[in-house]
Amino acid sequence: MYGWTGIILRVNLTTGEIKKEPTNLQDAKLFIGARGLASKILTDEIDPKIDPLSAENKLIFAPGPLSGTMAPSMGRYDVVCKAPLTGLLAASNSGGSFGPEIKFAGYDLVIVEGAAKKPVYLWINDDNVEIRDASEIWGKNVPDTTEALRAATDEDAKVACIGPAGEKKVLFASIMNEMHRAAGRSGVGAVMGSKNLKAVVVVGTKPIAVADPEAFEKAVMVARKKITEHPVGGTGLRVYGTDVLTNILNSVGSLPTRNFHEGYFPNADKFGGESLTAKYLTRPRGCFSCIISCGRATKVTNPKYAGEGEGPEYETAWGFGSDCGIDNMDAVVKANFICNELGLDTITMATTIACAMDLYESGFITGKDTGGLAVKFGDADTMLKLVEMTANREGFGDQLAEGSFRLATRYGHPEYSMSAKKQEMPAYDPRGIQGIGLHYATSNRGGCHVRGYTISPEVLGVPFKVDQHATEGKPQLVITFQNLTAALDSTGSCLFTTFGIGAEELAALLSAVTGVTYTVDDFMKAGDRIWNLERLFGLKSAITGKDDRLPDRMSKEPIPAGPSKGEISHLDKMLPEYYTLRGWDSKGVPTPEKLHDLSLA
Amino acid sequence: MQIKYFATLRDITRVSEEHISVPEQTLEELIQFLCARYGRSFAKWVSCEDGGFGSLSIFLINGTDYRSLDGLQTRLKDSDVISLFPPIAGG
Repeated sequence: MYGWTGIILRVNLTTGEIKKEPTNLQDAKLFIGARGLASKILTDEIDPKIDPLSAENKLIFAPGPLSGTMAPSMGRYDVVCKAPLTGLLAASNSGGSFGPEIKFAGYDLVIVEGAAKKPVYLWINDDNVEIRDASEIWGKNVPDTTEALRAATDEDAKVACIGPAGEKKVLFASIMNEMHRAAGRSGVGAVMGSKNLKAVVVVGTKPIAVADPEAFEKAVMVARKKITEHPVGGTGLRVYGTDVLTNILNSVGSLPTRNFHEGYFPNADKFGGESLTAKYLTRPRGCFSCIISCGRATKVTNPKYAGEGEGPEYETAWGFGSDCGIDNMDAVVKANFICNELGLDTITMATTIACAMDLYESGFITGKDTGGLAVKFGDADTMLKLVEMTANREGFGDQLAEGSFRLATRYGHPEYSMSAKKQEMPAYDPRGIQGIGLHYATSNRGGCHVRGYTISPEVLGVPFKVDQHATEGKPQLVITFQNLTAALDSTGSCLFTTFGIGAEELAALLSAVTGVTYTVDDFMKAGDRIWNLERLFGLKSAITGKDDRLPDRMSKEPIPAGPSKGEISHLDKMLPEYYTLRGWDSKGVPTPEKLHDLSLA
Repeated sequence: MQIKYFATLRDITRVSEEHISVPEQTLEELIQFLCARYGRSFAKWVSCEDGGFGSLSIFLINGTDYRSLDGLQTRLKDSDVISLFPPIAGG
């Protein structure tokens, strides 16, 4: 096989059995790899009703067929399992070099089954695979774990591990690779912790076979040129990182503020990308084969918040910033460092704290519940304390560790959770930007921006501009972005390549590498197929069409001030058309005809 | 009117915002005025001339994208707040 290695590594932690199986070429063609192929295998192999934190769940580390090749910005991989935060499919996407290293070791996917009786780590050194004791590193944070495992194996090894949050099964624990890169969302780290798996350590030395090297080289050069010549991919992201979005979202009045009560934060500039670059950035960093380098190596020198690491991304700066009513950038950057070191998803962590602040200020939580802490908007030091308490499930942090939906429900007010399908919405107010609201409501993993990033046309004007406040045309726009992203994620590509290239260039790269001809239509249809596969699992595991909704605040409380003053979400206007265009019935269930057309029947 | 600069434009102008009092004019005339004031490095990002990236730049008038108004022909008032961004993205 070309592009795909043709081998899947399967490790059962209950029995200790290690197997190598052939990759099913037909499934690989239909579902590509990474998010798509791993989701296909998971949905074939597990009962949708299982407890995500039981040994019945499986955890799949999944690069794609373009991972490890010289195509630009192909450093991404997915971690796929049933998610503890949502009960839906998790496919948490991370960068760095860990995904390509799995390919270099010779594997399309690594499937981890069962659960170990005591802490272990998996050591993959090309063909040699061992389950090793991890008792001595259990309890360590991410940097210490990474360094200890490199010392124990190979100094060049790529390490994906959990921190204390994953060990304690915080429902939004992340898996961190190469210390700073996060498979963040939906709680994949808690699943890893439930298996007593502290880390996966990989070294690979094998080449990746390319079907048509000449065509591939040509496709690579076309993609590189388009990305580097685009002002966003070629310049903007490298200079300012993703946090450059703070000021634009604030300027259009759609920067969620104080748990989505408002859409404008007067001091947002203090934690925007311009400030990050001027005061904290030490150098840009890129993932494997990246020509964009949006990553931020950063440092805080203020002794009170001193630290060094990477980030924050825009969503993190927003979450610990305006969503918590905080304009102290030192504290925001520090909160990001702590999340990375302890293994927490920054979006759900920050928004859960914002929810707690909202509940506290509304009188639904008191000092009796928090152990005496006054949990108020704008209090940076309490915010930092709560992050550490959550990772360690200490005191009130044990309640925060369940995420905002369960926290708000515990106190009788689930409407205070700014989540969709129990996963928190990120940094774009769906009242001010209609398409992203439809995406949040229909996303197969709950509140999420990256699987249907309509912000690009609705706010940024890339590759074209549409009115952010309009509803017309948004259902088709959302579907196109959702399908494109499902296919793109499955190749191993970074989403940011789309600030330069699209389905045509990705299909050309994929065809040349694999030797399987993908037209643009084939590529987009693969995305549609993956989206429907994920939808079907969700309908069997946790949701109905009635869950395709946003918090009531989005439809009942207009944005009170700023450029989007008076706006609410018009989800109800868009959802029926979305179902129709998807080929789903009025209850949001894919029709038999649709499933047959996608080879899912 | 109040002009706010972001990202690269802030680096070039060396100010985050400034007030400019000019007679009533269009957005296009304002952009031309600023290009003359700040030179080619500024014009590269906000103008389409000489292969510039202006068509991808974001100009907001009181928080509304100029493409949802009358485009570059949108007429400006002295009380307006104009926010100028070069092409940017993230996610």
